[in-house]
Amino acid sequence: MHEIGMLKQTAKIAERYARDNGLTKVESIQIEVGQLSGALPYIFYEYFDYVAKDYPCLNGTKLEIKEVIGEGLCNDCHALFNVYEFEGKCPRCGSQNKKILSGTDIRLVSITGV
Amino acid sequence: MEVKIIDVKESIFADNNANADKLREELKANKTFLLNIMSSPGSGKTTTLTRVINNLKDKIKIGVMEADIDSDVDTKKILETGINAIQLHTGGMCHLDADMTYQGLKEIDYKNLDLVVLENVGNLVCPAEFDTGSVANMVILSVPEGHDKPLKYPLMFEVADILVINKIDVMRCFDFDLKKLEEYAYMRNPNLKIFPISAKTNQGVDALCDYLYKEVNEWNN
Repeated sequence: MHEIGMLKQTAKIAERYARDNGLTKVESIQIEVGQLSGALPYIFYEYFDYVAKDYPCLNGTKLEIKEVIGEGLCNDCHALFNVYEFEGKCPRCGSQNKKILSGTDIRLVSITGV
Repeated sequence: MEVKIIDVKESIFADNNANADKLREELKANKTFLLNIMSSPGSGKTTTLTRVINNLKDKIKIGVMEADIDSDVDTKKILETGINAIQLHTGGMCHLDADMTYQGLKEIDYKNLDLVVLENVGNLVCPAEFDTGSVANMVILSVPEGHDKPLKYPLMFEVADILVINKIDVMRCFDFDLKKLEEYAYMRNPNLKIFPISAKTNQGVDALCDYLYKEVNEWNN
């Protein structure tokens, strides 16, 4: 539900890297969105252009999103499982007691441009 | 022209996390303890805070920052205790971040205070996601909300240092199992300090205030 704020932060970081590396036009941005980050990729796609309006080098920039699986380690039976798919419960023993190993972050991986 | 690929590999949350860490360093240097209070709306944040202020205000210098989407209802209640309180309006946002918190701290002149309390927006989801730069996070859960909340809102209970269970005076009116609540809460966070209280009747409030006073003194010395 914070996709606009997250997109603004993404755009800010992308613009900084473009500027620091002498890019005048960013053709695409590669980001990873964790399944457990709370962000919905389709909203990112929908609103990126709106947020990018504030940054001339990001006008027309294409957003490329890779989803990162939210993996959990069950603290009771040590099974590894997809937290989103199994709704937080270990599929082997049913426990909710787990350590989240991945999928909570949103990362700007790279930008490409000229 | 050649297309360049620039590696970034930066979390979009990195900026706020860095700002929060920097803020904590400044608070330590200035000997000010920032307590971030979070909960759902109506759990009794302001009532509990009023009790804590009245208990501690003669021993330590306290200031309060109220964060709401609109109105100054809570700020007015806190001002009645005689200490300074300011209202932060979030501009429609459902949470505060470290930068907004820092702006508020400057406004309340935090350098002259031992304890600043940030009463965050009433919401069990969003405020947990953003480090405000606080020294400790307090979550208030009230009895009518039920004992299953640590199962449903894991992050809030994971980031909490202190869990206050409010409205224990009405426990017999609800299907609230204190033992289950503690089991679920410790499952999320084994290091939680749990304080059952009633802000209305003052039950359990002394124990909470004694703990806070000890924590503030440790931080400030």
